[in-house]
Amino acid sequence: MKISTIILPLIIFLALFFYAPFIILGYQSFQGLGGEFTLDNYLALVRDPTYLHVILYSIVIAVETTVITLLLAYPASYYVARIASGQEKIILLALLLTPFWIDVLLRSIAIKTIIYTIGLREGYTAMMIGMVYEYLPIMFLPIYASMSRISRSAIDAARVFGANTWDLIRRVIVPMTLPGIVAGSLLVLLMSMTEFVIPSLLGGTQGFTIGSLIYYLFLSGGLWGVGAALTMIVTVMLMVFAFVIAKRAGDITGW
Amino acid sequence: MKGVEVYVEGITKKYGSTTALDGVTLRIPPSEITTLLGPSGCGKTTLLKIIAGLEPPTKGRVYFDGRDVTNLAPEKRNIGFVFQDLALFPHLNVFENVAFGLRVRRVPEAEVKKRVYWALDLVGLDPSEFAKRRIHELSGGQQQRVAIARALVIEPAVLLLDEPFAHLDYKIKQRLLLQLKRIQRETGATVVYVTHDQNEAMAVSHRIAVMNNGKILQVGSPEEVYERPNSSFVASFFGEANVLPGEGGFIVIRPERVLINPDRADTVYDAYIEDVVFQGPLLHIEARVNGKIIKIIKPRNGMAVKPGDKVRIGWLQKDVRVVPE
Amino acid sequence: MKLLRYYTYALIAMLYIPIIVMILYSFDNSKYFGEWNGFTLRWYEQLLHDTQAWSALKNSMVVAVLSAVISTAIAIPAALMARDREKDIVSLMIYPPVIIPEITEAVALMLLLIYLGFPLGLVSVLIGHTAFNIAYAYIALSPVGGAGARLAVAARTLGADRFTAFLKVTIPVSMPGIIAALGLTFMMSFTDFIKTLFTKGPGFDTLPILVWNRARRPGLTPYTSQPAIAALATTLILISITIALAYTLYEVRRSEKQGEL
Repeated sequence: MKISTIILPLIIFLALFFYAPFIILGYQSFQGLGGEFTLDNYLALVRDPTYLHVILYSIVIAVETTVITLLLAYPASYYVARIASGQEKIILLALLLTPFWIDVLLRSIAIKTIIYTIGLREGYTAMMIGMVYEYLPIMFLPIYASMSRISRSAIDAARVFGANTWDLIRRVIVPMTLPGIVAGSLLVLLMSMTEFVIPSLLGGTQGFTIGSLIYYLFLSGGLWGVGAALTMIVTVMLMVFAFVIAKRAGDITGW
Repeated sequence: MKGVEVYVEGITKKYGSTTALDGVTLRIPPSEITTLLGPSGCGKTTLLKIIAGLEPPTKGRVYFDGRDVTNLAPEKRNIGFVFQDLALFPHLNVFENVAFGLRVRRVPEAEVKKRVYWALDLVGLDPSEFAKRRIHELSGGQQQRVAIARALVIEPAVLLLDEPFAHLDYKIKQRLLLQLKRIQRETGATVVYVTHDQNEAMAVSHRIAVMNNGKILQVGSPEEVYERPNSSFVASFFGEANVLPGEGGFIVIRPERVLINPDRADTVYDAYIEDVVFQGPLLHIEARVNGKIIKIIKPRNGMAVKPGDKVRIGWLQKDVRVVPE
Repeated sequence: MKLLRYYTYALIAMLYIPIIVMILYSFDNSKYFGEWNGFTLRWYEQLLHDTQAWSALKNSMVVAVLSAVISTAIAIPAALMARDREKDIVSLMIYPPVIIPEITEAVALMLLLIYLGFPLGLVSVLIGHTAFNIAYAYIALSPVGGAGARLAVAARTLGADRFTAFLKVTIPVSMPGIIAALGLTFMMSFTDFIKTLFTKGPGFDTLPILVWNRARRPGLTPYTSQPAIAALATTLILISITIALAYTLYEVRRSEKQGEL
């Protein structure tokens, strides 16, 4: 079809500065040290246990972050969406949304003050506190949205038909908020997997994750080929992940 | 103002594999109100948009007074269009909304004011009261009038209205329909009015084109279409009708032409009264004949039937219309 | 139910306690977090004379303003004027910039720029920020896009040509979306750290980069003592909150106006 000139600037800019870079990245990932075509960069990631360890370690951190933020955010989202009303609801929502405006870098430093105050130092615990702190509002929002969409009459109906509180949670509220749970978990999982700032500032010796590895390979180590291969894998993996889970979620939840 | 004659010839419109309009030809006489009537999805709004130039036809031509305007941009056609959702400009007040078409035509300021006031008067909005109002301060009916004034102020060659009163209360709708008729009489504009509501169509039109499935089925005055429908679809869509299998297709008999216990009739059946509903001065009666329901409408006075009554019903041959399908 | 309320309040408090504690430490007359040596304003005084911080602030502002204006300008025609099928293409193109992790697109862009021999600095950072900001500008504009296009059609039936309809109707009607897009893209750029880190080259520092550099090497100089970093971070938070508040107030006033509709 004919593409009119009005969307051309956008298409050209993104093609040049978003999509072309990934082509270069893909090219680089197959380049050997002498400029020859090679698969060594990819093989190195699998063969070298250090790399593999970092990747698995990052996944573990991401899953932990997802589970903890889900458990913490779910009851609060129920309270804000279904119980709080009027002024209280607006204030609570505003308070939950404001942290979005404060950059992760600044929040990491804020967490650091807390860590030091309670006598901890940088390390795994400090990093996890930082991760949960950062991703809690992101988990909250989609769950809150789906919680708000449950109609009053659905809950009333369940009550009328004799559901106790536990039945209500198990058979009505959780199934009906499944889209929010899936969306929130997916979002947190994908974003936290490549988190770079929090592990770097709070993780100490425990803070070497995929993000740090990419940083190291490109900016300190000079191993561009391996760095490009790792970045390609992460990108492709996350894209596939996002599409597959979004599709699966559609099947499960009827989006 | 003298309206133009609009002639659409062999218009076909396809969206991908679906056909919205299928070879439509229609002459819309000047200085009359012509209604495009049909169920939703019949293609009536698409036809209106093609006349306006907002959509290009896949095939066919559009003529204004014999001039081919098929490829003319909408802003060059000198039309007035009242949108279903009105599409009033929220960032402009009432005066500036109405003045918009004059401003883009570079009409001098004094003339703009004169004509905007004329248009607001015409639709029954007092300019001194409403000119400075914001759009969102108006009621639904008032917004409707502004939309019509905005379309009329440029003295359009043809005024196109796309279900403009669909979301209004019954009473306001009736008032605006009468006003639209008066405005048309006073301005002499050619008006094309799109609706799915047969009552609106009857109230407002000089001519009605009944549409279904992208085709025009019948064109004529409201009386003609009502009295002589050319198909069972037209008969049942425009007014109530009993459609029964008969010789050479179907026979159509209007409910008010069905006689109860007639002294003289060309066709007579034995029937049971199934249901009787009071509708103000009228009775809506359903009678069962050989397992089939016949709708009957009668004035209430002097009619004493109740469910379960055994009656004879019938009709005169002159009141029966035979249609092919 | 009461328990749930206390829980929610406590959870929200947890979001703010670290920030409040950090603000307190920015007045702490010591060198490290966790030890309180009395109240002082010296970290803020030091900040006033901190030429590095001022130049970083200037860089951040220049990049953020330019990136906001350019990305919004590029997104406006696509979001407000494009036909549905064109919008499908655009939506497809802006999806990846939103979901792909920033660090990977930062690395990829850095590689491209180095391959092209493009000097790293203000312009390269600006390009990087604009690449993701276009997507956010487009998203912020989308809600007003429908109304703008619809009313432009109405304007054309009244005799306005395409350009006049865009200028006189689409732009004014879409103003709330345009301001939202500018505000959002400014904030995204002003607080961006990762993309800047990879595309900035040596010698061009924005405020987040400065914070990062100093936070990584605490205690070496007066500027990198932990309370000094807290003071810098607090200042940045104040800037962010001010812009966020102005933006929120604007939104609230706008929705109040529209509430009468």
